[in-house]
Amino acid sequence: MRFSPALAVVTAAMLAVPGSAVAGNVSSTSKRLVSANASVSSCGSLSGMTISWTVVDDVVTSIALGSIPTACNGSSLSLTLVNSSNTPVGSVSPVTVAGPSQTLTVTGNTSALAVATSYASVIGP
Amino acid sequence: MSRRSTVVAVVCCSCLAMATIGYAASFTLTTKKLGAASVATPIMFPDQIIVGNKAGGHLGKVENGDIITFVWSRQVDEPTLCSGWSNTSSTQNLALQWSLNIGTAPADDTLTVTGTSATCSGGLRIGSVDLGAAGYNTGTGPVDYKTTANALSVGATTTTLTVTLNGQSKGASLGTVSGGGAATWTPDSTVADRAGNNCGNNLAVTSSTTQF
Repeated sequence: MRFSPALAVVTAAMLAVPGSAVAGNVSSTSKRLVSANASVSSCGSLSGMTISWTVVDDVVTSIALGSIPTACNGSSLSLTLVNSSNTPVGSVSPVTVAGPSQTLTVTGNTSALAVATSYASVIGP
Repeated sequence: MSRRSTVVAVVCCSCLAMATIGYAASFTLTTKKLGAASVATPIMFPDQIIVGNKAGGHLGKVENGDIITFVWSRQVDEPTLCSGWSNTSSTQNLALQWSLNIGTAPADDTLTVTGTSATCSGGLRIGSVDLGAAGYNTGTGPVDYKTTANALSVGATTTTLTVTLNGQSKGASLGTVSGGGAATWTPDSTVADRAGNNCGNNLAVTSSTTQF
């Protein structure tokens, strides 16, 4: 068989493209693509919220969240407690914001002394 | 052979194109509001309260020798707890009266410091303990524990106050409460750690529902 430079170039190109390695099992599911801009805004300053908690033998059982921006009403709010290594040590299941203060139930066996800070996220409405 | 190579190249280019199409993803924006932020958690807070029965005592009844243990999450600035105490000592001891106050149901009985001392001119600022039920004090006025021992121990990161009730009023009318509910410690907001943080609105609750 004679050496073919063109075949070699094409084959090399296929190997160089990672996607080509799976091309055999990928089907085309969409023939239409579109892009656009959509404005997404915050419902307020979440970092201004306040946290007080109730502990039972050092375990955080509930959190009273205050100063929730009123514009967040109707949103789904989640809270994660992390330790000094930024590793999650407890969380709150998403709740629907119904006012400026909210009592949240903490899941897990979270030591209050181990908590360094928390992260809140709000989605919607 | 050149013609054959051209055919292979066309086929392979088609494969690449198909692969690219296969990676097309759909993304639907269903919300117009998104937000995330870090929120400060309490630093200084009541971390534990344990209401214990003395060895051989009556469970559910407030007696001399029963012990209440309070733990703060930080090293307490001792003068905020008792004006005469200093941070130069990690232990303090003081005999001071506590009282078992009547709560008429549905209000719960409470436990507070009621004694005065020259050492603690503004009082011993523990706060109050809601015992979770009425019925511990079945009399008509407070039951005092005049010579209650208050022992403070400041550790490397936390502070513990051990209160041993003593000097119970003569003729005190006391009831036994079983499974009345957890006790809740509401700390005095004056007490601060050594960075000036106070306990805010944080609470500590006992794990047991039968006290003493």
